[in-house]
Amino acid sequence: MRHQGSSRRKTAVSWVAISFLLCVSVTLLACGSGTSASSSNPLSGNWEITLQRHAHPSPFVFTGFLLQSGSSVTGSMILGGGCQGVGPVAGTLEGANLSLTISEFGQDISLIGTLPPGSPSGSTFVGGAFSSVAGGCADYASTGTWSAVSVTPIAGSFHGSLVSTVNGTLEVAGTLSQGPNTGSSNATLSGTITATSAPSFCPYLSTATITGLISGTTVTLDLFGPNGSLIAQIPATVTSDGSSLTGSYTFPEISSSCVGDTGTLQLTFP
Amino acid sequence: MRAITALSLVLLMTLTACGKGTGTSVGNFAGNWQMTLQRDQTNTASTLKTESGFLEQSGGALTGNLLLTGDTYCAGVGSAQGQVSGSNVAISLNQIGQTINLTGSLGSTGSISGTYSILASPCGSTQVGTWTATQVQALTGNLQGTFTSTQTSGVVYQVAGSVTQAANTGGSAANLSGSMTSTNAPCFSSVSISGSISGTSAVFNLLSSEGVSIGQFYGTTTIDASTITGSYNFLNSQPPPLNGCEDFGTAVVTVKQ
Repeated sequence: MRHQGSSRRKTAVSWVAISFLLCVSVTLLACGSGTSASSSNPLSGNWEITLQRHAHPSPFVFTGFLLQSGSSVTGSMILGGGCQGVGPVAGTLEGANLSLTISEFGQDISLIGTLPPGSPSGSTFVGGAFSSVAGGCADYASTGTWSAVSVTPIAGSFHGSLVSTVNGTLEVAGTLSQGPNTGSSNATLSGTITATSAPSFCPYLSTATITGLISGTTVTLDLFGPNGSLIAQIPATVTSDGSSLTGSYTFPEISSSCVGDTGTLQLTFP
Repeated sequence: MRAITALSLVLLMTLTACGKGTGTSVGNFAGNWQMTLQRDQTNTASTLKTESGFLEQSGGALTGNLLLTGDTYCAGVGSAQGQVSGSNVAISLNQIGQTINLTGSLGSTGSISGTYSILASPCGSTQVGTWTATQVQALTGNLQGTFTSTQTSGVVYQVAGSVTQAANTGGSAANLSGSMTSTNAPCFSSVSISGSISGTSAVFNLLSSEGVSIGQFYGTTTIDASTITGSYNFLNSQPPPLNGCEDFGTAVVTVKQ
């Protein structure tokens, strides 16, 4: 009997130990969980931040990606202030109170704001106030207000058209997907595009693969033909809800009678 | 149970040990600093460099970010790493394009003095010199001020309010927040303050209740953060009810903790 009682106690202790280890394991695993955008991390994503400066009519625009992990916010922005380049962003979100610092290397810009209730991605996030003491980018103190727009990721199929200045209109369809948010100043784009209407007299585009980059609402697309050659580079902008992309294209000469083409590109998702 | 208790004690002791210093008495270098670097063999204001910003201290280790301005081709924010031994300090500032090495010691008044060196870099030739640093007290307290218009002669008005400096996070600047009212100001009766301070440089962003930036005040604070002397401007082109109003001038604001 004494032996059976001891055995039961050992079994109970073993279960307690196993449960404890499981709890610790789950806790440790949670520490390393990913930082992909979710409703609990509303700041993770692609942002376009506009600083409206006091006493200066022209705004500063910063674009790039933020990553939120708990109350910590990190990322990188293409700088729109007096110093050009890409600068790191760091900050905190405590409750609804947001504090960000954009490092321009020449000086830091401090942004504070309040996150409105239920602000999801793809909506305008009414920002707050910014300030910066005089530094290497501007030798005067700067203040003003800021606002930020979250740009919905580009994803999925599209249809659209290339409207040429001389070669008519070419209907197109395809897919375009945005790479993961790594907290960089931009994310990659990849996809395909195919002409769906009757080919024009000059077949500049039949089918192509697409690579590109996106930062804020600014997009660049590179189109590569079936033989891998670059056939067009298209600067474009995307709407903040990710539903529409507009750009201008230039096709190079492909024959003595087809000496190149320019026009506008309009894509709609899906 | 004894084993679990013993294990818990070991874990507790291990965790408690984390972050402990070395036991050696070290000076306190954490805070907001205003530094002046004077190149050797010169003695003019045009050859002064300034560094401003915040240092954090953990035991004998210093980290932070400082803003370099003045006599340099490479103004900007650089990270700081340093070591403290007793009252002596060595700091390496990784500025854009150059590294500035500082060594010095904490004096009885709480200021630091020492020597610095910069090796030749795209920012300039090798140079050495001396430096001093003064810790700036937190800009927190009730404020009162006098604004004197330059735009409209004879217009002088008083302000009152409060300002609070945010915690030291080791950045080149810390946030300021607060509010300010006036009964005789031409451009506002009540504004909220959102600003920054780095060393002795402070800037207030003056915001309406709608969150619109209607004015700014920027200046230099004394090291005890009791007085800020500077300039202000209101350039509010907003329609009613914000009612546009323009004014600029000088201001002196006192802060009492």
